[in-house]
Amino acid sequence: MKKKRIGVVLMILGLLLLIAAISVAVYNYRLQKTAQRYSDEIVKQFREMYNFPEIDEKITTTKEIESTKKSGEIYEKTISKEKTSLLNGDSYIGIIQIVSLDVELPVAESFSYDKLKKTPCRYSGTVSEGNLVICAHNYASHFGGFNKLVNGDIIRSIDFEGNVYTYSVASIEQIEPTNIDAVNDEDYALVLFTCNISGNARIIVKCDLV
Amino acid sequence: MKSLSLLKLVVIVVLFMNILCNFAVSVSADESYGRLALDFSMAPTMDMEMEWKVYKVADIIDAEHFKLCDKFAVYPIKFDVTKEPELKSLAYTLSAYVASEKMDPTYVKKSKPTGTLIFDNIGEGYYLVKAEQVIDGLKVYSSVPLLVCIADGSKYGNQWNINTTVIPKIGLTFNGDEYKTINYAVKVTWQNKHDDDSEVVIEFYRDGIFYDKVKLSDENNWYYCWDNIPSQFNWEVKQESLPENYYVNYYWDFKDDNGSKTKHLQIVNTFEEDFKSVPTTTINPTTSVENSIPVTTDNKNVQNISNTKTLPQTGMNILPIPILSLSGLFLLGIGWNLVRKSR
Repeated sequence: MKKKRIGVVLMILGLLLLIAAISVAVYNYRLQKTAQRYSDEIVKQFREMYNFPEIDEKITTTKEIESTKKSGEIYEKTISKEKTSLLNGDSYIGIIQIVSLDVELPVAESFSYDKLKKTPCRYSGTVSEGNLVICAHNYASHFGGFNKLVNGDIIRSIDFEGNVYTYSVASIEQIEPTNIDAVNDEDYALVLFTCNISGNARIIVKCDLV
Repeated sequence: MKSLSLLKLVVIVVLFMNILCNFAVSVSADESYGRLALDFSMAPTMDMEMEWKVYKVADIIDAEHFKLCDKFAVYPIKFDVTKEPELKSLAYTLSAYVASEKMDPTYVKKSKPTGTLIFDNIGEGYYLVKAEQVIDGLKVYSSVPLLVCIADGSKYGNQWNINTTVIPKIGLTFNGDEYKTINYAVKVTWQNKHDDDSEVVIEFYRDGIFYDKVKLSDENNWYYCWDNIPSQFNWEVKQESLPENYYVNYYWDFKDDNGSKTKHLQIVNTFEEDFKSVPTTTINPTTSVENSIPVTTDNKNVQNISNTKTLPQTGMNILPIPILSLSGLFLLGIGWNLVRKSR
């Protein structure tokens, strides 16, 4: 009889742990979905304001598009030749297209954990100076597909001036979170990074300008 | 007998749930918790929410002594809060480090600046309060950083109040004129200077992102001015590392020089033989009563002291899922086995 009672208690504890695991999974799923919806909406709104190229367009070199801006009220600001655009209270520097993953995302001008929950953020550098570093969560709809990238894959950064910067993936590495020098490697024009699945390391993708 | 077993079971389950929910929280028995209220009666009207961030900057040792805590302890800051100008200067100095180091706040809440915003269950200590710059249409609003003390006066024999209300200053920093610019001038001065060959590097941040840096020395008379920078951004300056035994204070004012708005920042570096980067300083307990609030430590939100910077955490909280699942299945299996055997 005593064994039975202990058994019941253990089963209840086990069920509670399973419920806790499911709760964490549901929470993560909702975070991902919210981020995906938010990023999609921002890109959609930018597409209504700017003539951004489609992700499946064959653009293989860096180029300037003509008449980027469509009509309508757009609040932009320019500093150091970099134009940013304000939407829903956040400032963006453009969009990024990871062609092989069919991922198209807005890039927030500055990094904060709150912004990171919604869109990728610029960590440092600028696109024009060729030292842009972008970070994003490892959500499936953000940078979670980095393990599917291979060297040579095309990534584009499109700014609000009408410039399409085309990059080719040059290396994919896993680094320690303290290895800040690795992401600030100015030998590469674009560096993207996110966490690995357990969150204890960072996956960085270094890209050359094509 | 049966009801007793059921009671035991309920107690075990409640204890377990409590451990699960609060495993990260540990609070000692004599700590007090207070409440910080931000009164927005003087705030401008706006439609957007402001994100208010509260950073714990110093622990209270006793009624007269404080100690910078967490990341703040490694900066060359002397926590001297004996006079009102020093209190303001400290708030700006700490705010510059918060912005440039992208520190996470101890507490954060969003609210439209109307009525009162309450932060409950705040541990004892000194706190920096500031809001993220907010864009409301074409207008940009910023808050003035504020330093408040939260402590239970009855414990320390003074007039500190455990529940304190402060009135944050919120100003319009950009009125929609995209072409409006400001000048940002920095002047470094030295007190009790001990070495002649030094120079300092001043880092300049735009909305928390590194923008520029300059070296100041005798050659440029320890002065530099960034001219005609857009006023809609939040500009912050941070002085890079100082020689040993020096601490820094930032003082600034906003002047209209020949029609051109110039923000003058004075950085004062002071040599003090006994100064170390984790200073304990004296305060007159009666001078800061107006701003003081009693608080307790919420370990969930307190950062570890670390000299190393890390890349931001960009991963989801996945690790608990397999651990909780496997543990749950394991307990479920054992429990099922025991129940089956008892039959």
